[in-house]
Amino acid sequence: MGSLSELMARCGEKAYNFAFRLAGNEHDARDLVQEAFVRAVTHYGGYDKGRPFESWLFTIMRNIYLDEVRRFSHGHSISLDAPMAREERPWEEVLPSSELEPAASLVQRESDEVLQKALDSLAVHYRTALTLCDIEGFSYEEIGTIMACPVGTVRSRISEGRRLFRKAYEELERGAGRFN
Amino acid sequence: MKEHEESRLMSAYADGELSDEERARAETHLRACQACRLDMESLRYAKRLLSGAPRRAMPPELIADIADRLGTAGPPPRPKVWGLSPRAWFPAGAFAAAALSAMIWIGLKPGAAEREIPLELLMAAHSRYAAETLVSEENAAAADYSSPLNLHNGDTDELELD
Repeated sequence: MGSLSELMARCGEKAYNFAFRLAGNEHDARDLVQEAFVRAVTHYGGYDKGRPFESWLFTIMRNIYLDEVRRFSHGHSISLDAPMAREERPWEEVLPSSELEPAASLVQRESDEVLQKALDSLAVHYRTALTLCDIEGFSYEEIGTIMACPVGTVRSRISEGRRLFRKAYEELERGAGRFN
Repeated sequence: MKEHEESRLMSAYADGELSDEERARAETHLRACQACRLDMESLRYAKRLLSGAPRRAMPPELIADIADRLGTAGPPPRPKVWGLSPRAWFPAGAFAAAALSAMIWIGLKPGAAEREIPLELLMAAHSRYAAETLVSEENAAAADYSSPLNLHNGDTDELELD
């Protein structure tokens, strides 16, 4: 398997991107990735080597996130379906290989913020399913393993999640005066 | 929109996740149903938006943070063993803990040593911490958990085995 550096090089970026889209902010994404990698190492004895490490790592991340959401929701008068609070994210977080002109970069940043807000508005199961499928490219079978649910449930969550996401996205764009 | 049995298949069809029989059924229905064709376009639009989202760059210091946490994780507290004196027992993972701590101390900067330790050894050392059962002192030398880690670092002095 190599060293920690090699492992991070292989799946760290993907793990962080998933964590960010799930948690909606950099601070929580960092904590989520850090905790997941530490748990993966300390519980390596329980890892089924017949399963892709990435899939196992994402399962750990998803479980950690769900635990935190449940813990937070018990102490506060909010539901798991409530939109999340978000913080502004600097543009430097986007990959430095972007060669967009400043004006185009601004448009893309605003578009990404709208996209993340639309994702944040979804219940965690929909947000997880869409992130795994459309952003990270996992198959339905892999998503079912990560989310511990049948493929039929994955289908439903992705289908309904996309409808809800599109509706939220269009409403946000309309609010910003960009959607006709 | 009128509910269609096949509408449940639209997203999966867009993702190429249907069986041959399901795909044939979905395609037949799409040819005949404008509502589902519109729904399909809407689902594909959402998918394009999400798949086109820019990748969020991982903070470069995150790997060092993870390595630091792994490096500072110590062995679990000694569990109580009813009816036995604690002094008669010796945790075998202490060898691995000492080896790991030494490597961290030797490292040029925080996290550097643990980042380059082969992951199998790092994981094995931590797995020993988590799964440790106490080993009697006279058998401690036979608990050769830390030997591979020490050999990796060029320590050729192996534990003497009974």
